Amino acid sequence: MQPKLPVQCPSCENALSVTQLSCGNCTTIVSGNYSLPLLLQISEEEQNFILQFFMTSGSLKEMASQIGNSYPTVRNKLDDIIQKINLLKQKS
Amino acid sequence: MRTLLFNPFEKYSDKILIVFGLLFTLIGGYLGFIFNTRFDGVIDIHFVENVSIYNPLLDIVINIVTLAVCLFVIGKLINNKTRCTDILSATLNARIPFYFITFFNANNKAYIMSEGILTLAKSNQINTLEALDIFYLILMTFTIIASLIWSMILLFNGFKTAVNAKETKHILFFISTLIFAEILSKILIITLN
Repeated sequence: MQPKLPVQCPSCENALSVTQLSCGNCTTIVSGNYSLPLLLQISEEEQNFILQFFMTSGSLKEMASQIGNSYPTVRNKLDDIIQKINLLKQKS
Repeated sequence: MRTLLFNPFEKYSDKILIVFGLLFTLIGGYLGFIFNTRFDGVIDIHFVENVSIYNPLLDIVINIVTLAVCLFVIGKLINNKTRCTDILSATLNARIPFYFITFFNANNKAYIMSEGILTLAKSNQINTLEALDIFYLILMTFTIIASLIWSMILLFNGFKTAVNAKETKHILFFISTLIFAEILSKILIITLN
């Protein structure tokens, strides 16, 4: 099972940031304080939605038939993600 | 099954929903004719002595057009991306529960019974109403209430999906528009049909 990337603090629910990166080959460790990219701050389901949107060349109709949902349901989901990303952009 | 009965707009494409809705509109119009039923308002249904073949169908058409136009205008104001086809499919399919009510007037049963009740009420003899008639009346009342609730759930879910309505003010807009469409459709039906 692929572990989920935590983006929110389980204690205070604030956004988490990256403080350590390591090389799996030579074990070099880089420390610092890096904020998570915008697309990583949304849920895994929303990330998959964006990926699918990209893979269907932005065709919501094709996406709707692939997912098995109606066109307005898919469009609403996209609008909700856009709204969420706009809020995250304003925060950062 | 729950999605199919209460929120088909979430899963099924607008084309399927419109074809389904149009088919039931024709069936509803025919049922209205054979069971002497008038759909004289967006959320109205009345049993009459007799109707012509075009009366129930024209009622339904006026109701659908009035409600669809009103909901589309308010939908556009809430969300500019609202499509006419989504509102139309919601309006067409939300009427389906009403068509089942027509069966209660088979052989003019509901009409004759309501006239009989009125006569008994006028002569203060309402307590002489037969037990079978009371049972029929209760069954009809519960079916009408259930159909109305089912219809409203379908209409609201269709509107919600078409408009991406989430806020309380959107629900209030929906209710106000429904009341306005009811008044408008009543006036139009009285004038045109």
